[in-house]
Amino acid sequence: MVPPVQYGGDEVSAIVLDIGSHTTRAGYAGEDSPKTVFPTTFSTVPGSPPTYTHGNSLHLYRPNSIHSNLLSDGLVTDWPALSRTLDHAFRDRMRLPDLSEFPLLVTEASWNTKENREKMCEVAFEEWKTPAYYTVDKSVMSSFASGKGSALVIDVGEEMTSVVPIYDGFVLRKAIQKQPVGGNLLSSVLLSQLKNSTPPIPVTPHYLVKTKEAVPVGAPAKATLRDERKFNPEDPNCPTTLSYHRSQEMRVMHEFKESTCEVLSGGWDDATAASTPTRPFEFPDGYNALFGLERLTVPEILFNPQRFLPQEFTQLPLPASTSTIPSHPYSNLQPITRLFSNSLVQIDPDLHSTFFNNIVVTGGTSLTQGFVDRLQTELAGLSGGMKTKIHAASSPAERIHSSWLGGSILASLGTFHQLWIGKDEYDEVGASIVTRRGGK
Amino acid sequence: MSSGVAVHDQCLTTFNELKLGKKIKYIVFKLSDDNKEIVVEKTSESGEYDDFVADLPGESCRYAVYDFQFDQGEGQRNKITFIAWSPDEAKIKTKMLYASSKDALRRALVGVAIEIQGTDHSEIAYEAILDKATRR
Repeated sequence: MVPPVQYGGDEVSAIVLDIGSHTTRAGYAGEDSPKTVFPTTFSTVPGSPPTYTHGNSLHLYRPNSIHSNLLSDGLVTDWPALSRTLDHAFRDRMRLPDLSEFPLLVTEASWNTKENREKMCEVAFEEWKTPAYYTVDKSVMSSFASGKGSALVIDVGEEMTSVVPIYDGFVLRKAIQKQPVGGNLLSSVLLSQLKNSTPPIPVTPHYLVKTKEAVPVGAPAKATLRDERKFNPEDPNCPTTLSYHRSQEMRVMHEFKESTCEVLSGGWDDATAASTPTRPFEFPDGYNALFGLERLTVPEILFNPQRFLPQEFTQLPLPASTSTIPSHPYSNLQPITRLFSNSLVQIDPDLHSTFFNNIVVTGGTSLTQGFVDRLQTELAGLSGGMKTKIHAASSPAERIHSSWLGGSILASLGTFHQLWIGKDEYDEVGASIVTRRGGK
Repeated sequence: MSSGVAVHDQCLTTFNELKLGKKIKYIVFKLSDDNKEIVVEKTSESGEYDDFVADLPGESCRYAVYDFQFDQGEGQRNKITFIAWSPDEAKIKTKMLYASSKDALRRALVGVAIEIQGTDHSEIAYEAILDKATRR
């Protein structure tokens, strides 16, 4: 295998692209953090032609705008939207007219399909004119970035939780476990619990608030609202769509979660939960209160969905997917420790001690306070005396961007040039080269 | 999946000396300064396990091969142990480099009986290796 291209190394930086269900990251290989980080969700205002908005400005209020995500089950499903996302990342944010001088490294989910992988390779060469391309696995990158060639990677992200065992740099595909539990589900449950509490707590997103006044704890909000934007599902001429309204409510919940939610590190216990201090939260309309139980029960869904996931959520449909690796359905969600043991069952028992000793935790939702301590406690109970060691980067940026970071370091190595797939190879073989060379 | 880093010939020669000559007790390998190949950093004939542990830096990664000797009442046995040393304190770039390049070296060394991923001193303690060596 003598590759003709000599990119990478000191002369040219490669570009590293990592698309997650919540955040898209792009930047130059060798740097410590991505140049640009923006939401993967985008907004569409219908019309001919429709107006699309990608990046952080998607939250600005635009009448009739619809919010959607280009990923489903962690895989790209909306290819035109993907092209616009790349356009935003490379042209708008990084100021690159095309990638004709930059090799491109893209991360992919461990359960990606052959078709998706090849399609991405095609987009890179055909639309972006990249001279060289390579795909790496997100979980392998997270594992390497923690210094481990073999590890069990637990990723608790926005849309899903996955458990992926890596052995000597290769994914043990048969043992992958995943399910649609993540920050998004926790936010949805939180929202429904606040709305259904007695008395109900109205969640008014930022876009509806014109002015607000400070009010004492627990007192009704004194805010003027933008009535012209009022969301009314019954009115077909309402300028605010359900998806925009929902996405803005979820943003408030996201903030609520980050500032109040906590996992009981010793395990769930009604008495401990009742005696844990409350925390304050102020909503965009000024309403503020102290929250106790709900800030603890919601993240418990990660560890005990049977008990803590409200009934109405067990009927949700699974997100569409073309992957051959199935997710657990909402009606039968597994505790995170069960995902772990389900995965181990598929693995040679001789390797179990290696995996217990090398657990890598990544993903934004894993930053919930107390999460890692709790996981450690629960997994130690499973290990039957084997040493259990969790590696979780302490800096949030390293935890959230671990797969981008891994890709960035790898692509900056002088020796990595041997792995790039060159344009001439692509021209000769076609997009299937990426599957043949990816080692899968 | 590997980084494409090469293994210097001397790594193999030294490893074979350890394997056949039985004089060298352990070898410490590292990545060259330009990160292009894996080279021998140190060889030692010291039989003291603590000397070996002291040769693994606290804040950087290394690979090492140790000719592990033990006697469980059935006569003296030798098991060649490969250690990928990656302490938690090492920089993320170093960890990434060593983890993604390990396979190249590991595959070149034929005759390794035990392999250990070490992230702290308890994982490479004499007892921990003895436990692995005498299992099953």
